[in-house]
Amino acid sequence: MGALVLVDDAAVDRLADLGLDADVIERVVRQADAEASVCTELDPPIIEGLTRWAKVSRFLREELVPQGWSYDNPRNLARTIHPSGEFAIVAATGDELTGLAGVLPGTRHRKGEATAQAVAANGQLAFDFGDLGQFRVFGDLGAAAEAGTLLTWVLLFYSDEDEFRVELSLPDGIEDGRITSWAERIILPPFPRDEALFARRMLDIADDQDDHVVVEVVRR
Amino acid sequence: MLTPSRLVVARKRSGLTLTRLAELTGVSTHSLSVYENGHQVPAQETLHLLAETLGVAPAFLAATDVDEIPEEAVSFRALSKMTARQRDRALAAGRVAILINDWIEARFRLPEGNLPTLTGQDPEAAAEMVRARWGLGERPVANMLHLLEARGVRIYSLTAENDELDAYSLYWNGKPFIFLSTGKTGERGRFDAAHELGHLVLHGEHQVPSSRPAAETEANRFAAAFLMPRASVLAQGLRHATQDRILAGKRTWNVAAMALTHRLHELDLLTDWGYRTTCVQLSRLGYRRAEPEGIARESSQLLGKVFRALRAEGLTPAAIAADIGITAAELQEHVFGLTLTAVSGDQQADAAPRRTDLRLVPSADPH
Repeated sequence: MGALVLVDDAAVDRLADLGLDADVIERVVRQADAEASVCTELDPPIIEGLTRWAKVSRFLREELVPQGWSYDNPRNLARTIHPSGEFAIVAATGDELTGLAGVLPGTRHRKGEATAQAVAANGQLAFDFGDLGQFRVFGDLGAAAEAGTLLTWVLLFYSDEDEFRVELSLPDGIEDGRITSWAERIILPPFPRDEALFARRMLDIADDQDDHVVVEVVRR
Repeated sequence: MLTPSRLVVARKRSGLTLTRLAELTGVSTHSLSVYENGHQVPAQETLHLLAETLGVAPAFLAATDVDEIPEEAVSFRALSKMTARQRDRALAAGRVAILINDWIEARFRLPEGNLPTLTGQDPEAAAEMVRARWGLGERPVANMLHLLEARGVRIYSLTAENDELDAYSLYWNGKPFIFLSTGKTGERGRFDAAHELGHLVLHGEHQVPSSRPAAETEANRFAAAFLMPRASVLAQGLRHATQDRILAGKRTWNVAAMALTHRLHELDLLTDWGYRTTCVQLSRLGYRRAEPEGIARESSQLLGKVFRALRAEGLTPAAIAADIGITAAELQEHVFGLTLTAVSGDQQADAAPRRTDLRLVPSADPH
């Protein structure tokens, strides 16, 4: 079963459906990356990625809790839960296919039992409530929340030297800790790894120096 | 009609005393003095003579009033070695650069100022705080000028005759400015920019920044810590590094070999003896006076974009200079000294460069 893949404006609209804002997610990922960048070669090698992941979880909660979201950590699965109680978000470091349409991205690391159960529950809810193609939170699945089960979306993020790629995706198949299928993928527009956050409205003039810092200059 | 403050700025930035200007123009010192005081207005032909001698358009001398940069607003590194005339010339040159900036800001929206104020902090801690606030972590700074420009600092170059000076900085109407001499190496330019950032962050609130003798040392420590963060240096395995490893290692941060050596000593990664030995060896290899196989000077992204956009609208540097009332050569020195790679070509043909020591060196790739 292929995933429903949303990109560009459709993705931004869908995020809004879910009470989320692409700019907020961008801010969360950038802040987390800044925290991770304090790591040096003297840190144990896993710490940089671990820090980025941990801070994405924390900053996401810091953004959303004031908006009425809640959180819990069943079996150390750090969930951020929508005010409706219908679905939760967990953060995960993605592999290099993250944020690309037409492929099957995964998490960078094998996931544990708590994730496996959450994904299995996603699959079961989908099975109970019908065709994956019409799979919609706030539609058919309101009953799921009442039944005490909620959908678990994964905020999958990946960064390289040039850009960040992020998607909010709903896994519905997992084997041996690896996600094998997605019901829906909401792919955010990638954002460049510039140190200034104001890139979008600048004059479209390529610069000679490739250092990812964009100095915003706008003609009055 | 003459604007007295403009005559003062134009004279000082030419490095002329009243006496010397009197000699050059044949106008008496007394007359010049009363013109500058505003007690008397020169005849139109005298105004033209003064403008011509001072290398500005007559309109420049008649435009709106300009406030001089007060000398106590600025911390000069080489103050003790500078004469009052040199200092006045550097300040007046900065004032002309601010006029250029006014002209640009009337036409472009530029990044807003975004510098923390960390008065009284330890320089090392302050550098870490600025890095943290800007999300730089421990990463090397790819380009100091772009970083500062993106944070709202306006950067202009000083004219060539101010080469005894490395740089200075100040807040002007609440906006941070850095003026850089462009005659130094690329590595030195980065350090100078970081040094001035240190002044703006650590001493921006002081009424008289240069009054504290420790200010220069603090700005240097800030610059070293900002460009070569402690944790990042510790991670590079440079303990007891010899000159070979220092010469390889300096490319990580794009700093001068001497600056890295000093930093290693400061962080106790080099003993006193090791520090002295390395300094001697590096001097022998020419690293005290220059930076063999150094990096190209950083260029201004902001000014590059502005002047390319203006050129696309058909506005040449000569026309812009004329509008401000200065010569194209002067505009070139303040602006194009920082945009050498970005803005070049035919339209500057009338702006004969006075300097020959600017060269384009292939950028050393640190990674």
